[in-house]
Amino acid sequence: MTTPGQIDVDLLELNEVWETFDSNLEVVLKPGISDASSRIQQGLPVGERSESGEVDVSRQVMAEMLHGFARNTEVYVRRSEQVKYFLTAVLENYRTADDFARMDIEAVTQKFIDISTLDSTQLGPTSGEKA
Amino acid sequence: MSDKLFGPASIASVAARLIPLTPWWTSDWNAYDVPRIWAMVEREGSKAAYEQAGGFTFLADLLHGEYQTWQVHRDRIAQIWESPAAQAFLQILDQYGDDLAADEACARRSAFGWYHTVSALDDARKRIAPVRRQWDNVTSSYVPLQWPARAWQLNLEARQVMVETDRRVAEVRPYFTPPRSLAAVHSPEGGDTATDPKAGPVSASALLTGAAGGGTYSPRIPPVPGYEPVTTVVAGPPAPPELATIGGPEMQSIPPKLVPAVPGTPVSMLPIPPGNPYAPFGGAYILPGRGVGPGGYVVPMPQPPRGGPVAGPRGMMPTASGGGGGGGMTGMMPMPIAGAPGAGAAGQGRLYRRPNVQWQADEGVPAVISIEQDDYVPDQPSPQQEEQFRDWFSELAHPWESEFKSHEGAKVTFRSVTP
Repeated sequence: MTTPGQIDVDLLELNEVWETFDSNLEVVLKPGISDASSRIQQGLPVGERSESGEVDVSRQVMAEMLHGFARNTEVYVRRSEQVKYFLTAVLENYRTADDFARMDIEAVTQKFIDISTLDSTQLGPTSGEKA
Repeated sequence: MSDKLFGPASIASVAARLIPLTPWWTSDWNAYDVPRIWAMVEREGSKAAYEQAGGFTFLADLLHGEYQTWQVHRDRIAQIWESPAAQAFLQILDQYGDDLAADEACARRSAFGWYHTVSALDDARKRIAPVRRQWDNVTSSYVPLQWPARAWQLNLEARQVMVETDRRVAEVRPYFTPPRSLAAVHSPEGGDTATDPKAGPVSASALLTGAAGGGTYSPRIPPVPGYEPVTTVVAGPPAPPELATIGGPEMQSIPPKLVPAVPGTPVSMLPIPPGNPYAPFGGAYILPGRGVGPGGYVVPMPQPPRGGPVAGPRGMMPTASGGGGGGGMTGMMPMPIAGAPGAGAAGQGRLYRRPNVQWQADEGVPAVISIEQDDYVPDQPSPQQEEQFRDWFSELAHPWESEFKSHEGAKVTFRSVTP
């Protein structure tokens, strides 16, 4: 347990976390999301000719689910990229200076938001190498 | 309901996102006959549909694994990095982890619901397929006096299948759980804001208020003339997901709502394949009913000039006349069942002369000079004859098929009725 203002970080371990996180993102999450999307995003091959009100409303809900999952699966990848980039920034700052470590909670949160708002081209390398 | 469907997310967190939708209308299956119902279900149970349902399970498993990995990383970071900054970062990771768990539960529940929806419609197809085959063979297997009753019985069977299918579809719909819109950008005030609030195809609220369809119900497969195909549903308070049995099968106990037959709408009919003594070159038996009249009648397939194609049915399309009876339609030959020839098995009845029937005569000798080969032999229809009959009857009895063909590729059509 740290006292307020106390910093305790194992950079070696944090670097290992970064590597496993990056590996999971590139090897598991991205291909998995792509595979899942190809299985799910096939339109609505059910009840296309049905005159049933029950089937029709189920199709409507399913359409919303398809759109919702399409949107969220992109978010999962995006979030993981943001976290990875944030960890990269943490590692760099701890290595180069203590300024980052002394940032308060609001500043850290803001830093993360700043990273979050970057688009994928601004996030830098996404696979296997740190910024 | 199994807790396994929820995964690591709490039941309460997922239940808040459930949308126990009620349909805007309940179909009155009395308005549809066997061919119409078959047209609705014949494509159900496709490989793509089952793959899609399985895809949700795949996604749920993926998100479950991702959630576990996320937790491992989060716990490890908590152990090796202690600082106020780390605490803030861990809060963000916790929220993202919760979202993964919630979406896993949504995907798993949706996989369950969608699989059983696909399965219910697939079962309907399997059950109605033999009914459809019997429908096509009614005129070959029974005497004309029995045609209407047999058709009526087959309609009942098909409609019962659809009632049961509707019930199954309604029962599993509460398992559909659209995921909450996640934001790519974390909000420090808590909660997420959608990156694009207008990105969703149809919001849940729009679905619940009936704004999704934004129009009136317009059937793609027309009902049998004289029947109202839908019954507007009065929406009540949403039932608890575990108890919800949304739907309208109970509405089937209400007598069908009769409406004036709209002239021009296709009537219900049985095929009479070539070779049948009541229409040797093939034809259609127009079933009695609203817009047709109390008696059915036979429409023979028009015969082509020698060597020419069969005339299309459009000029003599038997449709609802609005007043009953088909005597006023060009090319139709009323044949009241009461006066139908023959009381024995099909093919053994006495024929009566019709304008287009070529009586075979045993007199004379084979022609020395054969002028032209006649492909149209009533007793032994040729493959060409049967093919022409199928084309003629399909266009005559199932005009909606051409509409479907012209709209191939349109994947999603939403409709609703204005209460």
